[in-house]
Amino acid sequence: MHSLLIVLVPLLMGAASPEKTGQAASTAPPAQASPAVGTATPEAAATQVPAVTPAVTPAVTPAATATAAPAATETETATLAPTETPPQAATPAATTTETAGKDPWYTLYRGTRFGMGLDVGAPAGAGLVGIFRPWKCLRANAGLAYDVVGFGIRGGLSFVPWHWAVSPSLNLDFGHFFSGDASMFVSNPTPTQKSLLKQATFDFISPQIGLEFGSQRRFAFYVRGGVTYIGNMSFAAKDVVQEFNEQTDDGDPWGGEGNLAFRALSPSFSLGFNLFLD
Amino acid sequence: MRTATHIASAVLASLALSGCFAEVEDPSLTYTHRLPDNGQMFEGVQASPLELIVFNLRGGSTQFTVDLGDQDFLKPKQEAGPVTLESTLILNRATLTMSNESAGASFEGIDELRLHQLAEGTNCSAGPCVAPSCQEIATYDRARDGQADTEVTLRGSSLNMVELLQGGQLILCVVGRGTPPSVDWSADATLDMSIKAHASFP
Repeated sequence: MHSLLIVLVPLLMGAASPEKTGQAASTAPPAQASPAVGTATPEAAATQVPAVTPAVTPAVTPAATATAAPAATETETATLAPTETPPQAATPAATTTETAGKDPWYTLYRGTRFGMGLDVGAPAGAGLVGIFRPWKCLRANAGLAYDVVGFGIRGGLSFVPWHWAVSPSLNLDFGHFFSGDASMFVSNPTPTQKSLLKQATFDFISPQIGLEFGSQRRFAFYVRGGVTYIGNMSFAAKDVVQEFNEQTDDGDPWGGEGNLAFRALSPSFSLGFNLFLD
Repeated sequence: MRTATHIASAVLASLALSGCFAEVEDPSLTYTHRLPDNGQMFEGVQASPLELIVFNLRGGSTQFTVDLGDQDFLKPKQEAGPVTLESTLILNRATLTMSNESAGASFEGIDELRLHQLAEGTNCSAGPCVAPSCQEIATYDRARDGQADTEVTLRGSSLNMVELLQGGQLILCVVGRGTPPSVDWSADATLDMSIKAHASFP
């Protein structure tokens, strides 16, 4: 929901994307400093020519004015609008300049926002995730998990307050493993043990702290440590009962409908890398 | 940077010392045993209310053995290196249910029932239950629990029975006060237990 808001709010408010807003902000001062629009700095000129030319050309067509307006700077519009620019064109230009000084809180990170990550660790296994970085200090990830016994899904959040060559991080990952036959860890399992361990599904949540080495814009390697809680791992009652009955010489006295539940809190570690693409 | 590293190290050390664990639990596992266990039936009693009685009336005994088998995790506290393993076996409740063959029999006249765990070599008796040779692990009281009918439920005492196990077995005995059924009867004694094995480290 929050991510949706982050995307929708700027659109609804008519603001340009962060990169474009930043571009407008960087081009605005040169244009304001140059009374003669046509003699603006090369960078400004490069970005402003399409916008300005229609305004200074005596034979202005409505179509040209319309395309020029969103990209025009405040100075250009303010100077030219009284005579040649339709009044409504000044509004988006003014808004752009006002917001360029300080970005609103919902402005998305201007650097690389999307990427992928690969990690391996214990006890959560390995993961291949996609990464989204809405703000500079916050990353979200989601993807697939594998722990030798089976496959699952996972997601998580990372808080990276500083982007240094070695950056500390706070991480919270969680996931669910759908299936898996844990009887492979038992030597010579009986049929009952096989049946008991064949559906080793569970949830996990793992808070970790870590250090990330490298560039937060492109490639970073990391090591993390913390704890992992494993829960909601249960085994069918009938298998548990059968296991008990096999070990008694008193017929089949055991019964029960509740499941055998397993949970654990253990130290955990992981290492991996993030590759930011765009 | 140095400060961040120190903070990270301190947090990691705290987590390592915070008490990690692994545990397995079954909150409701039942064990059912027919009483008497000699294939006979208790004879009905045509008499006035009795003082504390043992149900080894004519026909059989209310003493029986629960065989839990040789389960590795049903052992008293064990330590293996930095790992400490503790198990609990709690009796949630015990239920006596008249068998199908006990037509017309009921526990309506019973005022009080007690389930005792006996030390090896000890027999069921109407005498006082005194540890360590005897432990009371469940009780029924008509005033507290209401009148019984063809079924009577005894409340568990939350005693950890793992420490009472003798070779994976529990020797149990039902004693009571009141008027026993007036016709021949047999009953299924069902023990509803929760089992938990908890390993903690370091």
